[in-house]
Amino acid sequence: MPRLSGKVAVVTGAGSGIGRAASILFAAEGARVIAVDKTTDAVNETAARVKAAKGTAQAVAADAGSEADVAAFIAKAIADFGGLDVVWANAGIGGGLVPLGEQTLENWNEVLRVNLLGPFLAIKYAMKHMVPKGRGSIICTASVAGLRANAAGHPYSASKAGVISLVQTSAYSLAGTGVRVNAICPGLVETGMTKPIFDRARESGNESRIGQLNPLRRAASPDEIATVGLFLASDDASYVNGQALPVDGGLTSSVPYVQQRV
Amino acid sequence: MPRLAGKVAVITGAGSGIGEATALLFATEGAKVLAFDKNADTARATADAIRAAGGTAEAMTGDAGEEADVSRVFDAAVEKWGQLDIVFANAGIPGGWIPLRDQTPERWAEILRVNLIGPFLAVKHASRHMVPRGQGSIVCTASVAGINANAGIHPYSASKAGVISLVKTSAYSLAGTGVRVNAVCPGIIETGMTRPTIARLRELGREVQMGKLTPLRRNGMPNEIATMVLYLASDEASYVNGQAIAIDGGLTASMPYDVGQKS
Amino acid sequence: MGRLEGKSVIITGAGSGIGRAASLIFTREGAKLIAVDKADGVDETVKLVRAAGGTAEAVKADAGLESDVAAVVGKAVSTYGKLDVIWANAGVSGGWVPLHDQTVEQWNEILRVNLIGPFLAVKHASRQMMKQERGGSIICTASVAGLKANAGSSPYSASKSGVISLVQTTSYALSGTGIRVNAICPGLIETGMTRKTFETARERGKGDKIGQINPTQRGGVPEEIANMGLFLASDEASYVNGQAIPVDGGLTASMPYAGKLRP
Repeated sequence: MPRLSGKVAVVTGAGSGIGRAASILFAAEGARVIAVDKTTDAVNETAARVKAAKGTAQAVAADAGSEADVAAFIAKAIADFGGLDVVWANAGIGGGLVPLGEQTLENWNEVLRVNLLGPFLAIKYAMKHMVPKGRGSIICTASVAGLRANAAGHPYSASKAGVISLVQTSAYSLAGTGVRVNAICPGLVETGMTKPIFDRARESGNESRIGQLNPLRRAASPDEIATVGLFLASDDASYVNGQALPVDGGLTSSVPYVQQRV
Repeated sequence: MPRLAGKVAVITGAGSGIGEATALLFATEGAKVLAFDKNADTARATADAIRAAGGTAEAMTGDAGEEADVSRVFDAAVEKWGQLDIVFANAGIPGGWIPLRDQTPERWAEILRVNLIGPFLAVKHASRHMVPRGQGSIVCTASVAGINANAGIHPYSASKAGVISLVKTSAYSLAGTGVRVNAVCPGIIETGMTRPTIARLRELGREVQMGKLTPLRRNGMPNEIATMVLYLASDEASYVNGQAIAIDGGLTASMPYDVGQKS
Repeated sequence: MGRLEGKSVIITGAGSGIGRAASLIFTREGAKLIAVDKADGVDETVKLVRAAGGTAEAVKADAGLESDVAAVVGKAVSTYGKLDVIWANAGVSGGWVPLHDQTVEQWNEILRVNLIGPFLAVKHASRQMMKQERGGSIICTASVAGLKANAGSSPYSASKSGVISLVQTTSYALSGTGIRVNAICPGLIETGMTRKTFETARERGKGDKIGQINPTQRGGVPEEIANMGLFLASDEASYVNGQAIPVDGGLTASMPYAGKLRP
């Protein structure tokens, strides 16, 4: 029995990585998907793949940090598919790794706009449709970087910490409405956003070192994040609320340590 | 103005390391100190050192994981000096370095007894004396190992995580009594307990790497824990309660990372 | 000899509440102060400091504006020759707007002052401190709202959680420099920013209900936050780094609960 049968889902950042994997997976489980990304070709490709697998999806090119765009693609879900059950605010930008003394306000503001204000807007507009129905599941992509240092640069980490806060406060704002809000904190995953890091490691012959710091000794694939999102989106997670779930192979369960060579 | 003027403190594990440093610091700040340790010689040496510096101290010996011993030491402090203001439940045993597959329930039970039941007993019996007076500060030694992995073996880490939980639940049990309960979570500190580990890592040429993991690039010293305990014990910390505060150079602010990469 | 003897300190949001309490306590302990606020209250703070025999200068500035922050650091150096401590305490609450009425403009202003401001403080203060020999201590005011829900609005809470992240990441960015970065998470404290909450409760005859849900069963006072800041600013906290420490009477040690507290 498909786990999202009859549900309508919006996924942002759907042009690659986690968002693409989620769009394809959700559609395979019976959801009709509005796939959103700022990159037109990429999001069209995602929708094409869903349709090729006999699923239902519409592609939308939009800026997940723009209020007008968010209002529009949420409205499109209602217009095209008649309802809204799941929103995965997944779109995000990396912000680079700039030494502290050289960081600029412009970079901070842009990272916060897409990574934190984007999810805020998604929740604000989604709840208008979910609350009258008395049900809904909102998922935000945070990061292990929102939990502790040394996973990414400062503005990215701060923005993701803000997302973790946002799912807590929003869950309480939506108390009694039947709408749940949760975050996923991916560890190291190869996506469009992290591709430069992986490429660099491969070029310098360090591919085998990727992901060595967590107990599974590897990075995740985007599918492994999508499956957790599927669980949170489904009714199986009906009592999971206000949480930030690390999906990181165990990385955040440790302090920095020296690898013991046996 | 001495920050613990007129106060009476009991410190367990006061014979060495963090306990010893704290006992000396407390006495400098005007507290009367009852130094408790399973090692009679070192407990006495701590009390002697305090007196030699002009402070007030007594020594007692016993097992910090035995209810009768714990109860007795607090009763003794009250009998001697009329009150009990501060308890630092610091006594603890390390786990050694035993792989999971070789660990035994007996070893787990012993570590839990001293490291977790001991602090529980300290909270239980100290509050007997503190609650009627409407004031008191209890500090327990947990560890960064109680927060996350790779700072101690499984039973040690579990016992210290238990202490972190204990200070939260106990703070609530003591709601409205004026008694506060907190924990300190030392990082990698140079003490008698950690000396074998640090020595082994030095032999393996890895001592430099240990310090490298924290932004301060070094291990901590017992006095750097003692100053936090002093703060928590004093009236300045009157609104700090139910907390487990890490003194670790920044270790718990991070997850594991590739030390070669600069952030 | 004061605990901050001879240290050069900047405190933002010094015109009232926590910032004013900190200004008085730090200068009492021998610090030389640059007191910063956008409001006139900062002049009164400096008057009070000088009346008590302390050293301070007032600066009117916007803690969320890069040029103002850089200028304030410059003033500490030109006035006192160095900078040892900065407490990025200035913050705005943003009020209580229901989620579906919140605007991007509100979010941006709260983030600007509450998160970008501390980032700028860390960036510019550390630049100066790295030119000096002895490192330094950077403190940011976060909030229990940065840890969990129901202590502030969504944008306020998100901004404060960002501050907690900031002290973690920047403590590591400053590895090897001897500069420590920490945050304090105040619970419910009566300050200029929270006055309305307290007054409303008192008007409704519910003044004694304030702060009932934490084990101390009261709100906190600004001095209690300032005392933690004093500790973190001093050399006693030499191994405390990358931490976010709640001073909240024990509030964050529990999840919500119904009914009266029972042992």
